[in-house]
Amino acid sequence: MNNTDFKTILVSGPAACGVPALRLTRRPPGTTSDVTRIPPVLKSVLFTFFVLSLSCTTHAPISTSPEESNHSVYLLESTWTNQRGDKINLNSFRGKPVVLAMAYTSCEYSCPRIVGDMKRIEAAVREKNVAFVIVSFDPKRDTPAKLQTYTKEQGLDEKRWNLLHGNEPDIRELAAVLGVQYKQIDEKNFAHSNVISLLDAQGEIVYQQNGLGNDPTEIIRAIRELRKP
Amino acid sequence: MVVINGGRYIPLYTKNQKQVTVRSFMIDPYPVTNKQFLFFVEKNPKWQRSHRKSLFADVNYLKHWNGHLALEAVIENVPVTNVSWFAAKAYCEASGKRLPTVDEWEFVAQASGTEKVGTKDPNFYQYILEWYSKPTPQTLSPIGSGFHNVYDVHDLHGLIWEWTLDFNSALITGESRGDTGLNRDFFCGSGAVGTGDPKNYAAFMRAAFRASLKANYTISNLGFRCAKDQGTHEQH
Repeated sequence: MNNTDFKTILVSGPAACGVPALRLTRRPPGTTSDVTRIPPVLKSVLFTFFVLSLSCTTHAPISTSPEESNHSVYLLESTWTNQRGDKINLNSFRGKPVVLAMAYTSCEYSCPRIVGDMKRIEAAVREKNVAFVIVSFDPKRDTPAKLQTYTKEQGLDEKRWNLLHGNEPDIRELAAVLGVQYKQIDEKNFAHSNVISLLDAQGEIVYQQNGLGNDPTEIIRAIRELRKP
Repeated sequence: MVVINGGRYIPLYTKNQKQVTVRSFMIDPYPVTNKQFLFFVEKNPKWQRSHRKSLFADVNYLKHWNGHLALEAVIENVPVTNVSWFAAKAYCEASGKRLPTVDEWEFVAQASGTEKVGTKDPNFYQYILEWYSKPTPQTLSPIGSGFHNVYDVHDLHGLIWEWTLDFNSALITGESRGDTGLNRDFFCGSGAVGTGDPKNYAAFMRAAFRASLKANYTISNLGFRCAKDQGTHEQH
């Protein structure tokens, strides 16, 4: 069995029960398995069960609680400052749906539109228990004070909205996690992709809306799904 | 580490041959090896395969090792691959370094065996393109077997692809096309034709490759090396 087979199987096999699907790959190279002569399709089915049995019964999950998600954005340890000057960790949004985007306030073209898109989502979602978070690309200009001014200008409800200031490496890391591409192109401007992410109560990305001015029906539906008991 | 005196270069993403200033920095002469990475995960259990979090590394993380703390002797001096951006970044940070930026990496990588700016050397380009056209071998060669440039920096070409700190800065994917006007400037110039150096097809391939990555991806021919600002003190 070569690496490609392992890859296919590991990818197709559910990543359930925490981490250990990888244990299969610890088999020393060259070790033959008793399923070598079985047709490939059957092989992968068998191996999926094998992976499952290994990961679910033989080995306890590494994560500390069943609530702890392996994919959670809240695994990031970065600290941010919001528009009120409070130091917060993204983890402080745990427990509720979060609508999250990255932008910068001195941007003239796309950023007002991304905030506009988020406001449209807000207007459609009446539940108070949904957080709206914008993380700035621009640590230099978007100081907490500037973000406060912007919050007021945009008429954002501070009970629901947090505009976050952070340092460059943490911004880069969050963008990487969210799949947001960005680059500072001159003193004042950033080129960036426009992505609005929806996080569930555990901080997993459950939906992403790409581009600007899109019909928000799908993301609103995804939020409502999360709100179901 | 090797000191790279800063300078100006024409990156792929600028229009009208606009130059960008790269400040002086230091860079590892070789990519990080499996053995070095093993030493790192021994000291930092969070980055052992058995502690993997999907957010930080996909399921193929270090899959070519025999175990979470074991690897075959034959790959000790081979560049470590199957590592995510997060893992690479953590490795560099653990020794007071960081990943090189795209600009830094490309700045050093444009050096041929004899010139700091090798972009006019057809043999140099040929080497890179020939390497790109070959499939990745089952077992990679040890460090030092790739291209040796005039800075005495090795293997930027000919061995593996490398992570960069701001790999997620290249706005040339399909997804970003509908985004800002600036992206359109970059992307819709018919690929390499609209970019800084039309001949630099190799750099365009690297940019496209970076744009296709996500930070938790692990790939069998993607490794890394570290860099740091000049003047910062190295920790151990």
